[in-house]
Amino acid sequence: MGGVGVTTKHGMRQSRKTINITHPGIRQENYHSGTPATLPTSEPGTPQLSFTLTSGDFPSSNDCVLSQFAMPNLVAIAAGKNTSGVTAEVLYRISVNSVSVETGSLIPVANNRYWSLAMLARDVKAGDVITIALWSSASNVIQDYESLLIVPVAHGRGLDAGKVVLDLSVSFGTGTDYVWTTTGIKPKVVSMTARYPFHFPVDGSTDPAQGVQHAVNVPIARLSSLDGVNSLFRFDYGDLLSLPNSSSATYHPYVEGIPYPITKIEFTLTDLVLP
Amino acid sequence: MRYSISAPYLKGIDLKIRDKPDELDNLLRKNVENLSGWTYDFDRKTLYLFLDGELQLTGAQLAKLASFGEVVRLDEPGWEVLA
Repeated sequence: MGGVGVTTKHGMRQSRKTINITHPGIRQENYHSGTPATLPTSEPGTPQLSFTLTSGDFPSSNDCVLSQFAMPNLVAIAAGKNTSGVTAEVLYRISVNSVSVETGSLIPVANNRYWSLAMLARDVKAGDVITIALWSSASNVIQDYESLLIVPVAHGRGLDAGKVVLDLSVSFGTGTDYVWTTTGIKPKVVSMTARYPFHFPVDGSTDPAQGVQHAVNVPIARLSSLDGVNSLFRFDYGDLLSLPNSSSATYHPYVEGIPYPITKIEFTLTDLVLP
Repeated sequence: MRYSISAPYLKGIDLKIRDKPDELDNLLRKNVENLSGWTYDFDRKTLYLFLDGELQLTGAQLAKLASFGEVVRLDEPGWEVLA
């Protein structure tokens, strides 16, 4: 990380850090080459979708090895339409290198409605093989869209727990990096709002005034640990929590996601430690 | 509204979920008629329940789900432990 160390007259060493983050944007797949797949009515023995993550899928920084500073979480989207003629349910299992990381269900999806699943895998790396199994409670539910997005979370995880930082500043992009679109499909991303706040510190307390679409400035913060991961702050969805799934009569996919990427984090790291 | 049911109480049904998510699905649908979706996180051993819009779990549903673990409502600031 870039920064200049300064020792104050009180003996406290301070170092200003600036982390600029570049996002590659969403990776949209065309797995079925334009031909929708029909979901089986029980969990398939072999997952239908398989992706190998590459270094180009990951956000990066010229100021540090970003995966050491922030945990890369994968948000995978699968979407389709219920054409079964009846109300149906869509279930999924997402695995990383053949290990299940999340399973779930969307209930119910009325006939002729679009469905969208947002699946989460934490702390992924280039070379990981992501597989997704999809099935439905009724015949003739189709799936025709899939995409991948790497979201850096738990920023500061490489720093020591308990360290005090001053003048923490977080800036966000406009969201243009995360345009969810593809030919013939009408996408909708429901913006995260102040209802889904930061957690400062990461012990569960929240500041509902801080929405992720706004720049954040915190005079003093402490690196805290959660699930064995240190960080300056945490988000709810895509980080601490899972992602909700949804259906829509119009939008395809319809996803409550993380459309506003963090583009810069600045803070002054001190040598003060609060236990 | 969204809810979570946390570890360690879910450990007892973890293997069942891994083997047959359909069984967990049937179990949840029987106990929460207005459920719009659920997700189980294997790393955190936490089950997330999704209800449409502002719908909330009823007292009877909470009582049933409390046998699986601590139920937390997630949409309010400072997550609220319910049962």
